[in-house]
Amino acid sequence: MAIIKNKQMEHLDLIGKYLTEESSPQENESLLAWITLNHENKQEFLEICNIWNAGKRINTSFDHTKAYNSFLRKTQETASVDDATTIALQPSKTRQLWSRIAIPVAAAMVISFGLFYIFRPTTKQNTFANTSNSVQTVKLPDGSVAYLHKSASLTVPSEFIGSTRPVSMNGEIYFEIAKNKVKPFIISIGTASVTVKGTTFNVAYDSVKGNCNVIVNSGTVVLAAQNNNSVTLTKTEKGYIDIKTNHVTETINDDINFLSWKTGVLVFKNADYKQVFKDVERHYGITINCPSDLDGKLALTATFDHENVNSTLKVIELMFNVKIDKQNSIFVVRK
Amino acid sequence: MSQSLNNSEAEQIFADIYKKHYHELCIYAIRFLKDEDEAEEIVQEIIFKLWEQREQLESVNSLRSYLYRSVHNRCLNYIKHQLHKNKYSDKAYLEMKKLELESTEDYQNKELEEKVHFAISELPDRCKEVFQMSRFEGKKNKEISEHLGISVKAVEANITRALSSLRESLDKYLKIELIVIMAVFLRHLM
Repeated sequence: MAIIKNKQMEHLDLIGKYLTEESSPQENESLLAWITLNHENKQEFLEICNIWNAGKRINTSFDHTKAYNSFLRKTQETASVDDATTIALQPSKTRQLWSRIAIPVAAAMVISFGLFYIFRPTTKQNTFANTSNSVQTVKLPDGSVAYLHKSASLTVPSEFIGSTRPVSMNGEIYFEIAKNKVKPFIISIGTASVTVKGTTFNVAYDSVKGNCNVIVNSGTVVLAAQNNNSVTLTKTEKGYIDIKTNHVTETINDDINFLSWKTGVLVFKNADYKQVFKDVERHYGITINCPSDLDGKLALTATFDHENVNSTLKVIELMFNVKIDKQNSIFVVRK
Repeated sequence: MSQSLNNSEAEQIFADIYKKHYHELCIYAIRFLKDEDEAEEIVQEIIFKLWEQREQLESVNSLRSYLYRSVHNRCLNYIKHQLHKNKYSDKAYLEMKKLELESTEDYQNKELEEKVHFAISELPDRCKEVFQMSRFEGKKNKEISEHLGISVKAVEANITRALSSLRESLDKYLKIELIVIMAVFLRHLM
């Protein structure tokens, strides 16, 4: 090692902090001032960045075969959507079940929470259950954030001790997980699990039916059954698990409104009436009865940003040239 | 190639993109993103966007530079977006990332990599350990300090020490290369 003068060490310290992303805005400012002082400084900064970056690639590998397969899947799925005249979507079973499962779930949560508490007296477990109609935001000890849909519940330790970040949940929750490569975040869903290192995704778990849907917004998510059957999901992919049969599948997510419950925004792009009514039903938690002989050629392109149900339906009436009336608690569509 | 591609030609081109460029593009992206998943996501998105516009894809000659340019722009946007999201706008950080992005036009320098790899192996033990945990395992300084039972200040000092030592090794390598070029040049003159 060469003998380095203290004055020279200062900027190296700053570069080190900058590269490891530990620097404050003030430190970055003084480093930038040093860089722009003269050409030699700039050169030195870039040289060190180059070394830092060149050092990385040796230990990193990316699987191009797997990436290509994922690309092929995506191109095929898009092609089939383009070709189809009507887009058939799986009806969501979870919606109607919310009210039915809420009470048994709450009871089960209390019991399991109690048992957990008795057997694990050292780590305190906190359970959050959303009994309101609005979205409940829960901040976790590692800085992650969970958005609980109505009737959803989440159990987390007061502190993540050990080599993983284990939580358990029920219902529908959107997660924004703080990055931690060495401490995976693991969500237990019955006997199955979802493992991530830092990403955003939506989990809808129906403990009564014993199935679970995971839709990824960013990053990578591993969805695994009890028998270690698993799929790795990335952005715009959707995983489905049947907990009883341990069957795991993955598809492309074609549901652009999967997060409307959290964002409050409904988006339609060239959507036909079937899709529009389906998404509106789910978003507002209402039931719409609709005759099957409406004009399937009419399409709606619109964004409803935090609109109430009546003004949304007004627009739909105009667009699809129909009348919508409320009869008891059901909305009925007429030509 | 002047006319637009047919489907099987396009498929071949995209299979080639993955085989020849995917890994390198991800490596290029990771310089600026730190995270493997984000790098792969961005590269996948760029290739998919290219696929969607494959009808306009007339020339494949400049494909490679187009892909790198796209990754470059996307990374910059991504960094901007991250800064914006984090509320505090660290303009100096963004400025330096831009400098970094603009200076790395040579996407592949295997020789430099090997030299750097060798120089890392020559670092003093503790220094090497800290550097590897930081660079390869992506650990934060606080995690490293807990793991090794040393202070955060000591971690920082070791990273500084590693960087200055690595730069010194690289300097020698650059100088040797220059001498070799000079020698070849002189021999041609004589």
